[in-house]
Amino acid sequence: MITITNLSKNFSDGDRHSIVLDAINLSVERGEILAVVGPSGAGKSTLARCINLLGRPSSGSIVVDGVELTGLRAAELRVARRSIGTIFQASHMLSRRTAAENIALPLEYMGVVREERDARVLELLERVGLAQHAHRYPHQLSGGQRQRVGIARALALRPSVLLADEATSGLDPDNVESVIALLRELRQDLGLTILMITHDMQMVRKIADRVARLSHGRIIESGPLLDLLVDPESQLGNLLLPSPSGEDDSIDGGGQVWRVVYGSDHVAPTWLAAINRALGAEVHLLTASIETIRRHQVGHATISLPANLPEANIRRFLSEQGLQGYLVASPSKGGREKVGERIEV
Amino acid sequence: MSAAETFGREAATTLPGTPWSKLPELLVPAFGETVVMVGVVMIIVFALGLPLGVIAHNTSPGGLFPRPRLHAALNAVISLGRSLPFLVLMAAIIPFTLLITGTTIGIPAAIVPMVVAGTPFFARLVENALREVPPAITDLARASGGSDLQVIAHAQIAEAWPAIIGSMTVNTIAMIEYSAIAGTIGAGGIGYVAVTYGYQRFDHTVMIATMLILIATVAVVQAVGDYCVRRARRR
Repeated sequence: MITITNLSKNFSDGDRHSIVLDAINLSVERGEILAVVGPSGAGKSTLARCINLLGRPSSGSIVVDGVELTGLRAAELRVARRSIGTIFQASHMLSRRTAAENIALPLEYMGVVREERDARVLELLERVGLAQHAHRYPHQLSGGQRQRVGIARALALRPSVLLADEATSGLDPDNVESVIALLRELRQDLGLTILMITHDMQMVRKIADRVARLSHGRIIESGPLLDLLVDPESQLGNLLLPSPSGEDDSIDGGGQVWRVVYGSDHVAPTWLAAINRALGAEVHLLTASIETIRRHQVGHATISLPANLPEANIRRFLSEQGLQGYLVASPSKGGREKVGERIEV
Repeated sequence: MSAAETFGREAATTLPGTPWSKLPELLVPAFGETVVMVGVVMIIVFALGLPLGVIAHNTSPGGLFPRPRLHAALNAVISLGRSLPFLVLMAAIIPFTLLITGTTIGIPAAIVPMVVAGTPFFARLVENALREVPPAITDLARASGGSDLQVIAHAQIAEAWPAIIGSMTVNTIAMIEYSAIAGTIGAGGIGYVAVTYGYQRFDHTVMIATMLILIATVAVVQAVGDYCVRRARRR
């Protein structure tokens, strides 16, 4: 497991001081997958570099399996770093080494003898499904295969923590799927603790157990993935669900607009039609997205209802259906007033 | 005394222009001298310039061990070495050359200024080649547990190797040119023959022959260099 306490990182350039990370607290249990999301410029990559200690944090501590990593001397740090395997962006491989030679790199650095090294590399190639491509050079591999090489290299020294820094960016959707499947499998088989830093919400929905949102160098919201998804008040939950395409302003005028979030697993698929029966009102479906994440149904919809329908009745109906709703926009004198807040990723 | 000088004195008294049949006798030893001179210079330039380029790159702000002051100092030295025209440099460092080789003429005396001019040139080319390696490659090697030396060897130099070979080619061709300039201080080699016969005695046959040899030599060096770069790229 990995515990990060009060991690801060400041950069100073002459008179200008900037705080890139401000007292970050995170912990990931053994076998757990934590995703850190946030817009670019939030400090994600600085956080990644602090965790694998490529960049020294200004203050705070990072403890992996009981070993404090900050404050170590350079040589001790190289040894300690072996407990963290880092997966970089897909394209990063040594271009003049074959897949097998790339995977062997950390083993060479550790001074593992040749026979043992070759055996371990073969084992890793099989683990990531690349045994038949061992002697290919990076330019002969697809993006997804290169990323598998990166994962195998990260695993070479049997780390207990895997740090994935934008591991799926630049990959096509099929390759993203295969990388996600591989990471899940590794967590399952090796009990790895995985900390991923990403802006890919789809990946987060598929793989993360817990999510933390980084903004301006601070963790502003975090929690278990499913809790966030069913909480209509959670900004992070909203960010995680695919956002409806189109502008809010294109929404059908005249009615009151509700945002509805699936709050339980027992939402009847026919809830939309049931509104008509229960409330005697016509419902306009504006946007909707429903998916099953780890056998839990999660989703959200935006609907428009007649302006004269009492709010209390709507709330009661929705909660009977296992849904949570909140009013996004209601008609008011002279125009529509926006109630909800729109969040940009 | 170089082969060209021996031949030159004899030829001057007997022949107004060198006949084609006598050319090999004059040019083959001279070409050998050029090869030796450039070869020795390039070995020293590589041995000195590669580490200098690596240090210059890694003391820079994004390098493995940033040392702004050292970087600025190295930068100044490299730029200084590159800013003087070779002819001026050669004359300016004569006392240094004399100190090292005990002479101011001939091949050893030419090698000193060629190394002094060639090393900063090569260091700069190496620094540029290393800068083209994505920083993520260095991170990757560090995250894999590499020491600074391992990171430099396996990630930086290994990734930049094709570019470094290309730099060797450029540098070798520059040194062939410098060897011809060094011919003016009696360094021997093809350049000396071109200056003494072609230029000072208006011997057009020798002039044309030396030009052809230089053109062919540069073309061969370039072709071999390009071939090595392609091989090194592994694609």
